[in-house]
Amino acid sequence: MNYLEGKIDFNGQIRCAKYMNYGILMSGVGAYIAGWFAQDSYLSIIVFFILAAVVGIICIPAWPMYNRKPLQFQKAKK
Amino acid sequence: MLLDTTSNRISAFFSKLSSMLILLCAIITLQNLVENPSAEKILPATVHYAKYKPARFYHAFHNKRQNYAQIKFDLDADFSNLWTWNTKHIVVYLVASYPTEKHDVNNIVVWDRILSTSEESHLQLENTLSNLHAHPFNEYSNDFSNLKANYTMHWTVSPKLGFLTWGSGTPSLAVPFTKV
Repeated sequence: MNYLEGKIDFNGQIRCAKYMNYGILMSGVGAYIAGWFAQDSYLSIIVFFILAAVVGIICIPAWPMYNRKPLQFQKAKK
Repeated sequence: MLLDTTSNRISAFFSKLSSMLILLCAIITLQNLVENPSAEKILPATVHYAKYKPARFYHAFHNKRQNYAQIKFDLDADFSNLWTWNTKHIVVYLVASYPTEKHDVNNIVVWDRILSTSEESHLQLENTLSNLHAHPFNEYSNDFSNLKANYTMHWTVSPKLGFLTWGSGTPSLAVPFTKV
């Protein structure tokens, strides 16, 4: 159950938020540019979903790079 | 936004994704509103004749025996200027318009066509008959003898992302109805 929760440490959360924000913004901009060059509106939406899926693979699962300093809880006091 | 567990990260990711998708569609729609191409080279239709005779259409709204009219016309219209990167198709239709004693304006669609690509948008038709199965042309008072109708081209541009726009061409000269 602890492994399925996928907890990451605080620095990892900050970096994951940064990657998510910039990644989705850049995928939106890239989708518009790709659709403009191909002269097709449908391609914009398809490219947007593909780029957003790449960002999702980077950000959602609990990779070890987000968990370099795992949280140490204190022992329970009696 | 909270990002400590996987379910929290999934929910934050999908909220940002939907916000960005709405923004992308809004930008494309605004761009479609700003650049509005207009068609110039649309000549009025040349109508050869408009004939009527009594008939019974079983698929029509009333299957009683009444007068139905058919038009034979030429067409030379270029719709290529209306195509942008955001156009899905253009619906083109020919409208007959005539006044009667009871009502000032009666409009009826006589023929239509859907243009799916920019290359087939230059219509050059000769001696085409109006579509009596899809658009039955009957008059409510069943009296075509004293009427004159003029014919105009209308079009509807339907975009891939955005709002529908309509337009119309110049009307042709008035043509009376003759009995077959």
